[in-house]
Amino acid sequence: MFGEELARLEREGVVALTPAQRNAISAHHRGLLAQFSQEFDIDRDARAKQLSLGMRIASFLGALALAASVFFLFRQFWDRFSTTAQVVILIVAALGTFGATLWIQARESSGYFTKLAAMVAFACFVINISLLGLIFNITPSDKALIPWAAFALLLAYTCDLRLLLAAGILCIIAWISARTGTWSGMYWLHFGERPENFFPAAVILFLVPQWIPHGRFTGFGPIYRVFALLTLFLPILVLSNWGRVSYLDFEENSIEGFYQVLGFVLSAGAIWLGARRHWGEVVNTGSVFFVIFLYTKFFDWWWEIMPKYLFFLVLGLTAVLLLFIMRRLRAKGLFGGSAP
Amino acid sequence: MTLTWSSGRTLAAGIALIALTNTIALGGVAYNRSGEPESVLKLTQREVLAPHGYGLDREGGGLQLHVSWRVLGPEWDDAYFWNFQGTPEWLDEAKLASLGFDVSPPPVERRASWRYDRQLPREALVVLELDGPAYQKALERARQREAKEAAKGAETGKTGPGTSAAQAALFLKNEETANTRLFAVDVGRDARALRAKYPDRTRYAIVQGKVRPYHQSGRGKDARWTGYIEVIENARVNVPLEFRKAVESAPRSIPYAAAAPAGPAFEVTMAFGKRFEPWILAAKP
Repeated sequence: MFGEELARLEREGVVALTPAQRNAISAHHRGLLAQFSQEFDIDRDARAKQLSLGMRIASFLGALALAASVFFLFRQFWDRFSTTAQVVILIVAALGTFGATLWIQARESSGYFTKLAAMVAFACFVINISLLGLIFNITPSDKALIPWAAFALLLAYTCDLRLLLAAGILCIIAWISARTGTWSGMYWLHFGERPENFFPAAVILFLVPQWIPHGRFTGFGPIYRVFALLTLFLPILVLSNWGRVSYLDFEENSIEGFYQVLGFVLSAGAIWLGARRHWGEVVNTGSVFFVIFLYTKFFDWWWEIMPKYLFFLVLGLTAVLLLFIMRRLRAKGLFGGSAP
Repeated sequence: MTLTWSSGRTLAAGIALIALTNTIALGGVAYNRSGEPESVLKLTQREVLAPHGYGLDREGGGLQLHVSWRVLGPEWDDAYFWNFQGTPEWLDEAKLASLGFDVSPPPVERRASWRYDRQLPREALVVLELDGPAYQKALERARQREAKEAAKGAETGKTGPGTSAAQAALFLKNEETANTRLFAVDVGRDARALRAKYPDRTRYAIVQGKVRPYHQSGRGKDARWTGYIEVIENARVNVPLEFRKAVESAPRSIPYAAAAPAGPAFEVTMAFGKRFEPWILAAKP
């Protein structure tokens, strides 16, 4: 990239290098890149970056497939073992795959194989606890989500793995929401039937990267914020269309109206906050939900009464209008940038 | 705060987490099974069913028996459903209120009544009765129905296959030889109070379950709160390797009276522990 920039500067006459200087700079950068590539497994050029993306996708799919493979391996041979042997196999599998993950991590700098191993270790631990429940007829409990979350976060933070962070966050969301639901007396497995149960989890997740600096971990802060916003906006979207599933003791239409307004206010607020703090993922998530809330209202108002071509034309024009508004706000520096 | 752990500390933390979680889970199992079981029922193939797909699905992940239970409904016609799990005749407003449900009268305005139809299930302890008064009542209902339909058939001359009289006779036969004798007869939150009310530990088991209420519309006394047992926890019970032969050697299910008269093919002694979780103590063909 620096090579391209240097070539452009030379073409435009900003700098003039002698062949010896050009060769010296080029040799210096080649040396640096070779060193970084060896030490940190970074991408040396755009082609290597594309290949890395492919490897990330392959390792993600491979991790899921390996986890599924472990699950079906247990199912295939499970009924051939005595109870004691089953318990020993479950614990040894969880411990062994965890140890193997750390062993691979110590020998690999790219993280692709560590991700595979960590996902298998997490799957083994989940299967460990689930099958203990099955073997001994243990009553299902949301408490199992706590060690699963802890294990996923341990792997995520020690191996710098976003996939495991996402798995841990999902366990945390489920546990906090289930606990919130049980305060109203409901059985914990029904927490999804009252979308408001997700709100405390959303607030806590959003604040985590504020309390704990995540500078050392690639993309961890944005993952917390994106999951927090999804945990906030998806329930609001449900409640703004099906008010009867709310805790609020008002008329159905009033509940839906309240959550529609709340959806607009909070998604606009997310766009503003994200722009102020330079959180691109917050701006994007807020924008997506603002548009979804808007389109949902358009659908309610006009789908039945408008010709379809006109309806979609209105949607398209609205998107263009939103683009203009956001560009003007950015130009005026209202998003924290500097005005021209 | 930054997380800069060494590999050694990470390894120790992971091992500790796995060990602690397994210890807590297995400790709970040990506690459940410690001392005298809370109850011990001798169930036959009428009350515990092997899954239909077992043996065909090679990736089934072990064998589990399904505990088959039912309730005695307020309607006579319910008796035709051999595993009826609808509204029990004993689940009234007082019982629902004791479980923590709001049973105040729903508002008159129709638009507001939906609020009262959406109370979510609550945990409850359910009393299961084996071969007791509830089963005798179901049997008596079947006998009375058979006698009534036979008399009607004699009057009209319709007694052949497919007639009401033949169906009632068939149902009576099934009720006598094949239908489950395990009935849910009560719910509550206090295990001691329930055990004091049902002291026979070989006939009554206390298990965990969920109860869901609903408001039955109607006029006068017909408009009332009622509910049903949505689920009984651990209704699928794992069969350990040592008991699998006894269960596997039996037919998949008891043939109904229409196919061939046959009794239960195996007997399972099932215990329920301090946490009301079941396990198999013995199984014999």
